[in-house]
Amino acid sequence: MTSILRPSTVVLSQQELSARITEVAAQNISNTSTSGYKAIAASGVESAKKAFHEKVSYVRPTPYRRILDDGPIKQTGVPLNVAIRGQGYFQVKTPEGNRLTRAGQFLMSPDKMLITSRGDFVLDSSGSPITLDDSEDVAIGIDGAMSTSKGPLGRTLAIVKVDNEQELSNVGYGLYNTTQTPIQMDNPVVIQGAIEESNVSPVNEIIKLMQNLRSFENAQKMIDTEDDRQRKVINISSK
Amino acid sequence: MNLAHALSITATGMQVFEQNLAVKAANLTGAGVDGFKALHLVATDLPSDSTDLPGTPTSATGTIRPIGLQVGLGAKVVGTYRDFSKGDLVNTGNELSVAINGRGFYQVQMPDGTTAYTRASSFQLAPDGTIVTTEGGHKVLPGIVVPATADSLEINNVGQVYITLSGQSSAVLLGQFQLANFINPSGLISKGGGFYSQTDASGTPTLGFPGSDNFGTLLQGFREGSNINSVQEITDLIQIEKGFGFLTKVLNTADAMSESMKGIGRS
Repeated sequence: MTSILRPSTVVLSQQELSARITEVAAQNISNTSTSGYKAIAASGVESAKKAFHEKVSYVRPTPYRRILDDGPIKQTGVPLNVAIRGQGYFQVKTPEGNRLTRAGQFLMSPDKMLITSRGDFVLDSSGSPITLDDSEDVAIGIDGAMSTSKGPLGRTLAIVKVDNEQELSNVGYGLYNTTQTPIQMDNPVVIQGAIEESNVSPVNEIIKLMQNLRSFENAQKMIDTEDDRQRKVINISSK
Repeated sequence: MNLAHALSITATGMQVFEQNLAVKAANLTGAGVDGFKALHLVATDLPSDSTDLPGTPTSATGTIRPIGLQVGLGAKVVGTYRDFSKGDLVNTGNELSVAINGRGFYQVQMPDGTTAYTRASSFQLAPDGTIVTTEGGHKVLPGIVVPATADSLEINNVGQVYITLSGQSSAVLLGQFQLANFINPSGLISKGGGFYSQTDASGTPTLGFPGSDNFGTLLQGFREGSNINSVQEITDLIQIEKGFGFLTKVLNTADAMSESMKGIGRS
């Protein structure tokens, strides 16, 4: 016996996905000025049918997928702004442990350490924090090698990669945590004096939002019709 | 339903755009100000509140969730930092306009006795002949006094101030400007009027004569304009306007979705 409530709950599962998609668009568009931010995308799949005789299946939201395209490069000319092209992450030391990030708006701390805008230490390829003598007299090569006007520092920024980038979990502040072991990249592309802007495409987000609103409204129409039908059934049986 | 969540995320994004607009307003206003240095806003995403983190076990046999389900709570402003790159040098022909071509700050004695630092390089003479800043009339250290009988004033690229007294042919050395350098200029705080004061983040100043190690040379007859790139600022403004508009669209969508749900059960 099929429940009288079944049609509405099936449609409701679609609406829950719609709400998630709206939430994701809000998150993405809010972060269009966050450097190093990677857009996320929400989608759903048809859930497995529970039994042979069941003809319906619900919408099940799948985990968000991170869009890994490079964001546009914005030249700032600030020596401690560093961007990565293509694959790779900076490695930083936070109070919670080592994390990865693409946000390269670095600063110099009062005790001369190279830090992120949140105050975490930027690490070099050997995994130690980097000390600077001067925030303006720093040159960073395409491979992340650091030097000053007095000569090479003998240190290279850690530019690491992981096998499965979708596994990285966003812990906020542009930081990612991982259970994988990051490995130093062989041929990273590092650009000094530039920042990687957010890779969110607001136009795409709005298109998705509009499509999403339409399917939400269609689903709503279904629920309204169902509601109407149920009322009629109640009315007939109470006569 | 996560519609309320979508609304609060949108609000955080709007706040970031609003802050960024204020920064752009400050930069564009400062575009015509001598020695003005551009501000940059740093925004970041907020952590997600999801419990479905990647790597959480999905069974007792050790299988784990390969990826998680996390959105985040929007965006926030971390702060602003100042870009101390050099502004354009502009010819003024004024003998008291002395731009710093390279690194360094002039030291200025503030009325409260503290030392402030500035890149604004158009000076004036006080009634007693002291070289002072145009803004506020504060003494430029080391406090060189130009006598009223001076015929011409010459400041060379290492900051030595020479005058020729009327009726004499040889120049007289009055003193030498000394510049201050910081290991981290972005850590200075602005006191307005183009003056900055040191903080723990900027470190203590290193003093030196112009042209010496790590210090710029002086250029008489020039002033340093702002380092604002107006085209870049305007491009950023357009992005802010569009971004804000898109967020409004998200608000409208979430609103339309809530409205259509309100209709349930009415007939």
